[in-house]
Amino acid sequence: MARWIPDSNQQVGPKELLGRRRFDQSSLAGAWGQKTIEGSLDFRVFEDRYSRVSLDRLGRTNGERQVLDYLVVRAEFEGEKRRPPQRFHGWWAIQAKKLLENNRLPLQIIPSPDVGTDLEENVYHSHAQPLKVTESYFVALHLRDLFERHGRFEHSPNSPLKPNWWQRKVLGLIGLLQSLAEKI
Amino acid sequence: MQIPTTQAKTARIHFAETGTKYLQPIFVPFPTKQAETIQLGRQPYMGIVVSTTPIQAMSFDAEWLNIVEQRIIASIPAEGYSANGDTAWLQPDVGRAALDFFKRTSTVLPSEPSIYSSNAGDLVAEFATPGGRMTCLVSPGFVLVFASTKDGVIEKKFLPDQQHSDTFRSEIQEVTKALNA
Repeated sequence: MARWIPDSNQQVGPKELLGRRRFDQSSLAGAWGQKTIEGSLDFRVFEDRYSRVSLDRLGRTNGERQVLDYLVVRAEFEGEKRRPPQRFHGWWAIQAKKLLENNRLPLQIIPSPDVGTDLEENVYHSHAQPLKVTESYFVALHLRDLFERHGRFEHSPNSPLKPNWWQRKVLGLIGLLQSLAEKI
Repeated sequence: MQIPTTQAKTARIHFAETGTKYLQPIFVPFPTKQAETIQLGRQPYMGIVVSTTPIQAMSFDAEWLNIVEQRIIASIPAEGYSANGDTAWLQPDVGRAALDFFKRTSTVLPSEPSIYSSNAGDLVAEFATPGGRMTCLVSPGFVLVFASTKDGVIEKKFLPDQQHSDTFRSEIQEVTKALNA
């Protein structure tokens, strides 16, 4: 089956799965071993100085394997270019409608494919930005809040932390129970 | 000699001797670690615990303040080391702003924070409470506070240099109270 490629001006559908790339993040030199906050995502994952947060379109309803394979080499390439280089682990992923329909920070998601050669090209690139002018830190904090409440982690196919078949089934079951509990 | 822990926990009023030899009463509403390990003089004064530690040692700071200050200080690189873009280190001006922020507000913050540097170099402090989570971003020019609860979010921007300490502290306390409500 051919890989799904959205048209360059094709709007992001409400059921599409969007992902924010997650790389290694360092701790403060003097704060090793401090207590971390359970269930809290790293703020830096969502930080963007221009309030335009880049997202990858991972698939029409779920992460599509061929799309992930296309994206993972580009994400790893991006991690290698960073100083210091950072390892790519996967994406914090969320359904587009959870971003579009949230009533705390009205957002728009704009498809913006990266034009380039080889690994510089990304036909799945889009970005989320607020409808009104908002401080970039607050945009990141709102996005993180939405991902924490409605998102999940999509492992890189190359990540050693990727769960095996059984673990995926158990995680899927937990997700299903959580969504049922939300509906009730 | 040290005050026994149990005594420190029950004691509400200590008399401490300052460096100028004056005796001054100090009200200790929440005995801190400093109060538990305070050095005593040779003899109790009129049956009341007497300390030879300077007054500053008996502070109104949160118990965790000392360790967080140490973490911040240890994250400021030595002079001459350029830590631009490296989130393992804090710029000295950010470190100073963070120390000032915690010194002014530690007693009204909900818990010991988890701290790290943002990509832009400011300090991120995360607090967990039963009612939700609070995040503070401390920069040399401003402090942003974001709290997420079941009912909504609270977002505030402060300019600590332009605010009186009491006002600043009480506004932070309002956010903490809203989280615990």
